[in-house]
Amino acid sequence: MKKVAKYWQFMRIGFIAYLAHRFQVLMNVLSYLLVIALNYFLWRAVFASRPVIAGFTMSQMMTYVVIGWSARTFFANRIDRMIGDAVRDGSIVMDLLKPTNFQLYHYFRSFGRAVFMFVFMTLPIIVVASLLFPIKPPSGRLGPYLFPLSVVLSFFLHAGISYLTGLMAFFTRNNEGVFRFKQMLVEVFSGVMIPISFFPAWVQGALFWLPFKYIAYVPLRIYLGMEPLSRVHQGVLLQVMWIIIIYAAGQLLWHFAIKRLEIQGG
Amino acid sequence: MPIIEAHSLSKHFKRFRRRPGLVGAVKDLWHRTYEVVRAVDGIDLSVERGEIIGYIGPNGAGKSTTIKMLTGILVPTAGSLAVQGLVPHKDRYRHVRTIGVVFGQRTQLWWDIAVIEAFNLLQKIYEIPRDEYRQRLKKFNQVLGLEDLLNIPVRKLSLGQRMRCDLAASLLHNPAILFLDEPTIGLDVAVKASIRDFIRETNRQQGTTVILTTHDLSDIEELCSRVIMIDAGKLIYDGGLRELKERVDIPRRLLVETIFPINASKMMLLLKDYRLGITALDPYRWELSFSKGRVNLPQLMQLLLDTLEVRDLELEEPAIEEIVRQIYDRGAPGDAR
Amino acid sequence: MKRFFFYSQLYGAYLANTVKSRMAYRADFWVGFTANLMIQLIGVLFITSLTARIPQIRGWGRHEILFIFGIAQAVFGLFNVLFTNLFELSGRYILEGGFDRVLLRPLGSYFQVVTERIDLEDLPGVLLGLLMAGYAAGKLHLDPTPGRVALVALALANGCAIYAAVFTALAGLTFWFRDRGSIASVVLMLEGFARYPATIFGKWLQSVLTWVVPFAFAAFYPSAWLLRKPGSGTMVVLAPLAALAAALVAAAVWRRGVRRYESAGS
Repeated sequence: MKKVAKYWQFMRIGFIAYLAHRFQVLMNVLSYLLVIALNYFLWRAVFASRPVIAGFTMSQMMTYVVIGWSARTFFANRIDRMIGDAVRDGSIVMDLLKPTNFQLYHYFRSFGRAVFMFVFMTLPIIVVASLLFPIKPPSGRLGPYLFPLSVVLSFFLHAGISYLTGLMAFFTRNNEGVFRFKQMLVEVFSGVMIPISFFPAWVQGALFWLPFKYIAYVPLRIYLGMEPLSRVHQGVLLQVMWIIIIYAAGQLLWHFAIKRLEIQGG
Repeated sequence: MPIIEAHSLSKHFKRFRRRPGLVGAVKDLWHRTYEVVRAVDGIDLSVERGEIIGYIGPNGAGKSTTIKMLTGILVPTAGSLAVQGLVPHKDRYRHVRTIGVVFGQRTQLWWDIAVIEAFNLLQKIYEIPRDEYRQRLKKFNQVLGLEDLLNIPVRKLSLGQRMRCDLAASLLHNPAILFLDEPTIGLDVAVKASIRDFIRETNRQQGTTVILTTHDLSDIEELCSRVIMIDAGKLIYDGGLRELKERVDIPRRLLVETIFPINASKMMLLLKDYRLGITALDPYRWELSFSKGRVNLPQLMQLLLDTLEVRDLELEEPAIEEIVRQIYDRGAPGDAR
Repeated sequence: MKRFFFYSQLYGAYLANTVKSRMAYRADFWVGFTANLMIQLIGVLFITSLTARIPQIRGWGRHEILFIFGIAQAVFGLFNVLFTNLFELSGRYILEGGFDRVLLRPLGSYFQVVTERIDLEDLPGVLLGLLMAGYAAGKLHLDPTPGRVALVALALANGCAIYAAVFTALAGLTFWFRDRGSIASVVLMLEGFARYPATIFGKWLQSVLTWVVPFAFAAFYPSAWLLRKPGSGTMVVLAPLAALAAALVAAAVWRRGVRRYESAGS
């Protein structure tokens, strides 16, 4: 019970930390609306030449883009940068002194942030975007119920990937390049920027063995009702599996990382 | 003509007041309340060429804000300011060519590059003639002992090393005025001494005017002939250091720790010839408070060492906050109000 | 003229220092360089996958789109190399007080902020963009005549200036808002629009990209002219004027902002 209270507290911190930055929130809402608009117009132009591309109809694609980018506001996190900053300015030592699972601390703190983002970004963006662009409600028998669950799982999956990336800060001083690389990997291979089915066969084959597409592509296909029931269940189960695998990898890498710890500055 | 002249100089900041708790934070998202902070509130200053001025006051009194206006970093909210006949923020380029600035908390050098590279860059920026630059660098190397530091990146220097380099950097272009904001903060005694010597010498040889903010009263005692004191944005004292000392009782404290317990009457008897306040913290530790100048300190310490089994002696310098409080309690001496 | 010489000499000195300090950590440099190369490669994979399944988008052929995308990527890469420190403006300079130091030197404050860091790790963006444009030009039988090469070079410089101006104006808002706003993200999102033929977004958005945020002048109009699109001649002539106008706005924002600078603490 005490444990639960502790993680609840982390979430609260994550939530409150962002309330002070309303300019930032405003700018983020604006930039997401811009990127949604960009993708909307781009895909509309692409679909002007053909009704169905890579298994998507135009109206499915429009919904895919708007919901995908809106969901990204929720499952995005800054865990990698937070760890990178802590290593650079030495405050990581304070984190190490806390009697807390470092990985779960970051998961839950960021989940608090995600709840904040959901209230102040995801919802406003969906409301505005649905006024501007035609989007469809979740379809299929399970879409409306399983999609929210699936996106929450996306959050924890992405949190794990960011955590692993953040631990790289223990091994190289140049975090920025690594973090940006991870961001690009997630953006493109999660399916946020382009559905996986657009990629050449060899890329799709490679992505089968990687966790990225379970962040956005799989939940969005659940939303659109594009998967048969059995595949929906399979997709959610695979999300859970990847969360566990990456969590374990994080625990393992952590042991190597703290051995590398050299405090800079001081 | 004064080198620095300010009339009712003010700087006000608008600060966002945070409401406490989660509900407060959510409220702040929609509607924010602001308060005006009068960091500097109508001060008059007049500094003559060649003076070394100690600019002191409690934390948050407005010292740094004043320095930042004098150096042209901040634009004043109201009042007039002329430094060597220039308005700092308006005539920034010409103004900053003639001043040197050292902030104790943050280096003015480039973090990632070696000290000598930073110096060379400054030579180009200030267009210092080569011969002059080489000569000055050589002198600084000798006086401040920089030779071994020149090839180290700034971020790898210790605080004391960094401060010496910063000081040298600020004087490479031979400025007429040197601003030092807490130059000795966190430094050990030896480094403090060498920095003070260097400042004193620069002032004597080049006639450099020095404005120094500090928390360390011994900086002031060793360097400054004039003290300006600020509190809550207003000047509360402007005058000589000696007058300040005469009018304000600057209390000092000597902490004595003994190996064996001592009872109070014995202590009283021992020290009856001195005008001291005597407090027992416990039978082993005593606090002796006295006014500076009224007690012969070496003699007192000798007496204590001779008659008691002393484990430790510690002299506490008075805090600036204490002097400020005294000025308020006794009515301000000197010319400012 | 003397001033110009003075500043170019100083730029050289700053540049030499940047290279030196980067080379002190050669391993970190290559981590960043490789990460950037991968990021750019993923970008190439994205655009080729997008265009692979359709012969054309609203009258723009596959290789024409690749050409424009490549030029835009090179322009943005160049901006990232030369103006990378603008990303630090709101945080390290304005909010943390690093701008103090800048104001204490007898040099232009903008010059100093831009020059204090140059990001050679972003060169892969420039190279890959030019490679892609070159490949597409080959497919389109556009021979690299001196005139065309010169125009591409001019477009790079001009486009870089446009990005810098828009970014400066937006980042300069931190002088007023004093919040770590991720203005960077807004510009990054907007930059996305510059990578495609502006006409596919429809009349309304095209005018915005031309007259409000003149990103269409960065890559699209010069490329359209090289691709012999009718009516693009006027726009190419207007491109330097667009850069100039944007620069004037940025300069005005900068000058007013600096006067409002509040330093850190009190």
